[in-house]
Amino acid sequence: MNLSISFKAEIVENTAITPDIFKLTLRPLDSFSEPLPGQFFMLSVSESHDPLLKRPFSIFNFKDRELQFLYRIRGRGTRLLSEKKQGQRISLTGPFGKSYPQPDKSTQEVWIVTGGLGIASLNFMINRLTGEGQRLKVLYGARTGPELRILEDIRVKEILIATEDGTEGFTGTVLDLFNSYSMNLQPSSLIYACGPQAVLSFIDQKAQERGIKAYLSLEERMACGFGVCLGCVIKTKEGYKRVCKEGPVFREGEVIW
Amino acid sequence: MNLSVMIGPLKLRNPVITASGTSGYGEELSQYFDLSLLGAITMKGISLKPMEGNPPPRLWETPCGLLNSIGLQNVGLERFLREKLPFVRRFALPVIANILGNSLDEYMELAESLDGEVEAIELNISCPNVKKGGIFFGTDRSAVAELVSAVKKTLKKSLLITKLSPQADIKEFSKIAEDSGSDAISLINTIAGMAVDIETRRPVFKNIIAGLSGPAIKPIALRMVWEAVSTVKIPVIGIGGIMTAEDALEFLITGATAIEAGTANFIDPLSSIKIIDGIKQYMNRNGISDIRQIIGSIRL
Ligand SMILES: Cc1cc2nc3c(=O)[nH]c(=O)nc-3n(C[C@H](O)[C@H](O)[C@H](O)COP(=O)(O)OP(=O)(O)OC[C@H]3O[C@@H](n4cnc5c(N)ncnc54)[C@H](O)[C@@H]3O)c2cc1C
Ligand SMILES: Cc1cc2nc3c(=O)[nH]c(=O)nc-3n(C[C@H](O)[C@H](O)[C@H](O)COP(=O)(O)O)c2cc1C
Ligand code: FES
Repeated sequence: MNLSISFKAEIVENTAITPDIFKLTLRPLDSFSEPLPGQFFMLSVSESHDPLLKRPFSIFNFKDRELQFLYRIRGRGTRLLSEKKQGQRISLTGPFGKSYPQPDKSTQEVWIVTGGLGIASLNFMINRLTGEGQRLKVLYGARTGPELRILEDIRVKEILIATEDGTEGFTGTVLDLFNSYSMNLQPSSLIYACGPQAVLSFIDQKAQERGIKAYLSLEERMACGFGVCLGCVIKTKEGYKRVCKEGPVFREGEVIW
Repeated sequence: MNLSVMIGPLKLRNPVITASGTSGYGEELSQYFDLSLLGAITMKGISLKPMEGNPPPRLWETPCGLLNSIGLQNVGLERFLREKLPFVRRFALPVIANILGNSLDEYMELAESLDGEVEAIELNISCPNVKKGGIFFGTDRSAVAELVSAVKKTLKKSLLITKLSPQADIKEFSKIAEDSGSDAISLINTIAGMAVDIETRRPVFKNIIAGLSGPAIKPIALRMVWEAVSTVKIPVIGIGGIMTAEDALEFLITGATAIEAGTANFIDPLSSIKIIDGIKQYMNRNGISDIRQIIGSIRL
């Protein structure tokens, strides 16, 4: 048991980027396995049995052995997490799930299609691809301009922005943005997408229509995160699959929406 | 220090078992620790034919608890024997197969095929998550008696454990299981529960009723184990909300010969190992050299 799947970490920072979006940096105190882009950890939000379950969060970044997460306050668990202070300790399990596959040699251009907190899952991959000199374009949607602050740490040359209220960039959703650019997609393009189900099912459909490969990262309620409870399944062409184990990254045409 | 316990003729290295439906077929947990450290492992409930399980949502968190409606998704007997069992057999530990049928015949066929392939068979007569089978057997006196004695007659090698439903009267049903020849009983399965989405005014689960597990059910489970150990002479395996060594010790002191940890595995895949370590520490602290000095040592 050298690399433990279950470990403790100390909070280095847990700061609000917008009133309900937080950045959390953790320094693991025990040995752990290095995560890959697209994988996630389960984080405890309480030391007691209430709330009972850990919450899944994608790895936003992994640098200098520190784990970084980006999260939005959604309910009780994420609220409790947001109240935690620097120096406090929390328990984690992970890393879990399949990572985003690397583009293959025939890939000319990578499109990252996401919005809101979906960037939390894709940023680590973006950093890796950029480091490898991969050409990539990011299409990003937010509700409103101030939420774009979460992009501060994201380093890409080409990023196209849409806001629903039109305060910045293109007016509309990331899907509207995608539609207005999609004629530039080539069969040799590759799409990575993460976001709400409506975004993913739309991208899935477009990718299939155009014969383009796409990797879609899904979310489902989870109890264990590592495949034993069978609670996080989604319907696929091959029957139910576990989002935490066979996913969270799925191929185009795989999921039955 | 001796941690080993006997479930009838079956020796367990220690009294900590992982519960059915919370440790898969051992494949996932084996990536994180050496399975042979466990007292035993219980396989996900197996039916004759593969089962797809219930549509999502399948999980709902409650205060200190978890409602699940998995619907016994499993690979079915044939694939279990061909793929899953050979894997877990690579580890030196007793394997318990949890079985579920829709009729006496199905239970019999499962028991016949698994006899000798696993150390013990745990009869699931108590799952709240499938419409047929399970729950009806579990609360019908003559059906339970008939089922247990029929399966017992079939088994030449494997031990028979009857897993009781918390929906039934425990004193009565533990006696029925014992009288019908069960080698041991285990309890409790999840408690039937429910949740409602107040915005849509619909039940959270399509099946409406789901199974509650976790710390929320521990006091009830402990009371039921107490009722069982006060009624029968066969070994009793305690299940329900066991998260820590302290929880496990409560069950052992009350008289459970072994315990199964379920939901705890979800929160931490290493929790069973931590429970074993915690029991050892307790024994050290209290100068206890044999776990049998703990089992049933409750002072009244
Ligand atoms: C693989 C994976 C990676 C994730 N990564 C991130 C991330 O990087 N950043 C982030 O902010 N969030 C992420 N999430 C979602 C996050 O786990 C949930 O927002 C969180 O569990 C909510 O907990 P809560 O107690 O605050 O909310 P709850 O009180 O449990 O629920 C509040 C609301 O959130 C919704 N919700 C709860 N759990 C989930 C879930 N698993 N998926 C989608 N919606 C949910 C509920 O339907 C409800 O509307 C991820 C989820 C998964 C499955
Ligand atoms: C997700 C889940 C799946 C389960 N599947 C089974 C099963 O297949 N067969 C069975 O007999 N019990 C099943 N159970 C019940 C557990 O084995 C155990 O009896 C119950 O959860 C109470 O213990 P706990 O509070 O430690 O979880 C399941 C429980 C959960 C939470
Ligand atoms: S969360 Fe338990 S199987 Fe996926």
